[in-house]
Amino acid sequence: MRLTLRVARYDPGADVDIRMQKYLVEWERQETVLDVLFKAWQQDPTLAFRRSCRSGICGSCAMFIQDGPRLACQTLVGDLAGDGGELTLRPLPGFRPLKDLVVDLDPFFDALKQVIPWVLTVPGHDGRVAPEDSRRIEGPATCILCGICDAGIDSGGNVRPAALVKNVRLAVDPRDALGAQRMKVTGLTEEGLQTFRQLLARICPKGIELPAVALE
Amino acid sequence: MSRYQTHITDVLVIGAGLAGERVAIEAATHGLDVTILSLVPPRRSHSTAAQGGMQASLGNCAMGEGDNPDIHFADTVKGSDWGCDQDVARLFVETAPIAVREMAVWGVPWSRVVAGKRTLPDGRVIEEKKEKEGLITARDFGGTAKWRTCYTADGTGHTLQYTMDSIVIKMGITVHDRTEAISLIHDGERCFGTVARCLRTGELRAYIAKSTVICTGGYGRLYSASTNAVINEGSGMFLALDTGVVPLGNMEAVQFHPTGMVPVWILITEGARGDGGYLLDKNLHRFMPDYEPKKKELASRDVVSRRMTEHIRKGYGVESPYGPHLWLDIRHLGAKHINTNLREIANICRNFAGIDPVKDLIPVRPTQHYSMGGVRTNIDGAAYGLKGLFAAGEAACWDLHGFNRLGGNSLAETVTAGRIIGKKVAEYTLGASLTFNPELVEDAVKKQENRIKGLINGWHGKENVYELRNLMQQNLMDYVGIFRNGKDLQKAVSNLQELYHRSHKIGLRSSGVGANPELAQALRLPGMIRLALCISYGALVRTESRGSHFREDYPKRDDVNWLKRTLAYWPEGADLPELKYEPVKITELPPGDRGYGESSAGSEGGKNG
Repeated sequence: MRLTLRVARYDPGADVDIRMQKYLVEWERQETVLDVLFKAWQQDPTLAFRRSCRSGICGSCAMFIQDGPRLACQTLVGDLAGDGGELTLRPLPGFRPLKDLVVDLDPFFDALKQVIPWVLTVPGHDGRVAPEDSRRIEGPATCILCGICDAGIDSGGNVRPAALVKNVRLAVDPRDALGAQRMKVTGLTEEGLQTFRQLLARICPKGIELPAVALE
Repeated sequence: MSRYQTHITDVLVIGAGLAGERVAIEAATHGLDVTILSLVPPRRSHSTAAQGGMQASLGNCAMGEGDNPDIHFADTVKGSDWGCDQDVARLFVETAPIAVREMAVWGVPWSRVVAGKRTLPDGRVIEEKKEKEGLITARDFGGTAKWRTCYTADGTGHTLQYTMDSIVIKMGITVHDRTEAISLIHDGERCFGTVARCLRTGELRAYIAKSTVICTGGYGRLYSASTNAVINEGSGMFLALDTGVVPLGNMEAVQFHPTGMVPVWILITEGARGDGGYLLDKNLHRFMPDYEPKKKELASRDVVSRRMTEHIRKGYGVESPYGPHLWLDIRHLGAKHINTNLREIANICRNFAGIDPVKDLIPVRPTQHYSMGGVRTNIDGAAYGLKGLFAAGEAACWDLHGFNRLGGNSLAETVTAGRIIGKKVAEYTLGASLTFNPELVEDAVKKQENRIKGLINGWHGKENVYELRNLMQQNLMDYVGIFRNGKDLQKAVSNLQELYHRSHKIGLRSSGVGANPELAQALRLPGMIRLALCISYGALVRTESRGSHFREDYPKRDDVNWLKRTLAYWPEGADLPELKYEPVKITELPPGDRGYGESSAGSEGGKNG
């Protein structure tokens, strides 16, 4: 099957704005957007995009694919386009483009520091964690920091979406000295958190479901 | 005089995966100034892709009861087919339980013991004790006598890396990501740091350090089908090899994981079989008990991968456009178990193959996965040949794994070796002074500048870097795989030698300016082919079968002639490594039968007969 890939090109040294470039590629059922991007790259080694694990765990290949932010590696071409169809790839919105599909992630990683992103272990904690507590942490702990939530939805509070997910993960950890008090920094109401929970479930490529957490 | 930034630090760590970050934390804890270089932001490192877990003999769960470091030691040595250094294995098994608990204190959400009775897929009923509830639990993995693999669902590497990186952030350790080390600065006796290239701007920088630690992981991408990330090209190993004085150990020991998913070659964790999954053939027959009545699907990885390949060769593989494969069946584990304890692979199956493991079979074939070989170090992690150079994790040949690594021992190695070696690095660095010859640094940078100019301007030729890389990958795939023989290995060596000469004539098609992946690849490729030659030539010369290194023309382990480690050196101007050998340290467990696999008890001469 064939596919026209429309890819945003941007060279900060030469371009004032993004321009779209077309690549004609062959593709097969079961191939992902990352697979066809590699084919475009073989035609044109100057094309810049991030990728590493190609298995949905490193979070490098988040981009705006067709109509929304997605991971290129875990998006099947066939879900978005048919034979002879077109697929549009742009850099992640809300981030400063650096080159082609590559964006500046430094502000994104820095934003995590809004929430003290490590466990402040309760002194003298005996190390036991109830299995149900351990399971509550697991959901938000699967975040891969791909940036898709930051690009696609609003947290409704004082911290950015990925930082909020991290904050909830720490707030429900029984080993953490701050615990639920961590939620104060978000400025969210119960209702606001519920809205975010629903938005996140729809957009997150890891399907993170935020556990219940006390707000006071 | 060239213009470049110079950074000076006490400890320079190359690679920000689990091993690198653990070394960095230990060194920083000792009050040292530490800088980490990484190709990607630390949380994008390939350590995050490790699924199943890390081995430590905590003995909390029912099936782990009575476990202790002695049993872990025996499993590791047998798994290595007596190729590991036993003093290293002993140090490792004693430290692993501490390392696991330390990670818990730092915040890893380990899966916990849940009290009560449950029935295993094979009908056995086990009961977890009330007094153990809430302690770190473990699952079954191949080649182990006890359930010893601690885990967080099947995303263990991910949670470990995120927790480790949170400590790096907490301590304020300097990380220069998207920076690639491209040569070591040394005078033949001591290492002074590296010349690095910024992957965003293309600029060169010099990093000067009292000690340099290579933690760059494996070289999976030397093979065309690998479970490894695209960034795993073995760079730290060839930087060390290029010095001419640092050897690589046992490069012929390459692990093929039994269950890479066809055709995307993404790993399906050993936890799937540990939790009770079966391997089926085209007749949906569970064939592993026919070959391995005792350990079945849970013999060591080298054995399972060979049995699978053997079974496919007998004509029992399922035909597909991507070659014959076998099936992994986890349907009988049930939706609840699959969607919780194995949710990462459930998602992988759904997203990358459009199949649902709750009701579908998973197509699998053994796939390149891990390098037991690497920068040869002593028990302190100090590289042979250069003072001030260390290595840890998959990039190193410490040598914990010998000729086959047990599942769950690599994550365990990263944090355990990181902890041990980090301390040794700190001790060394606290006693070292910062002395270096500025001309040495200037020359090292100039040499790299000239290489880059040559590639951009096509001074030496117009060879296409991607074409050469594909040929190298195909040669290793076709001739240096699971089953090896002298004829094919010789073919690989000859072809790779020719490719090596051609790799000196690469010319770029793109401009080479700024962020330029083609240039980055062109700078790496000659080093990658050198590694490929160390693997193939080491395999050609080793006329025995041991662990993952299986010679069809020498199918027996040969302890009389080959109970030794290969050390590959690369003399300047050579087109083949120079091989030397050293004895393996046997301190506790003399060579014997592994208890699984083709009869491995020693025989003289290795010849069939």
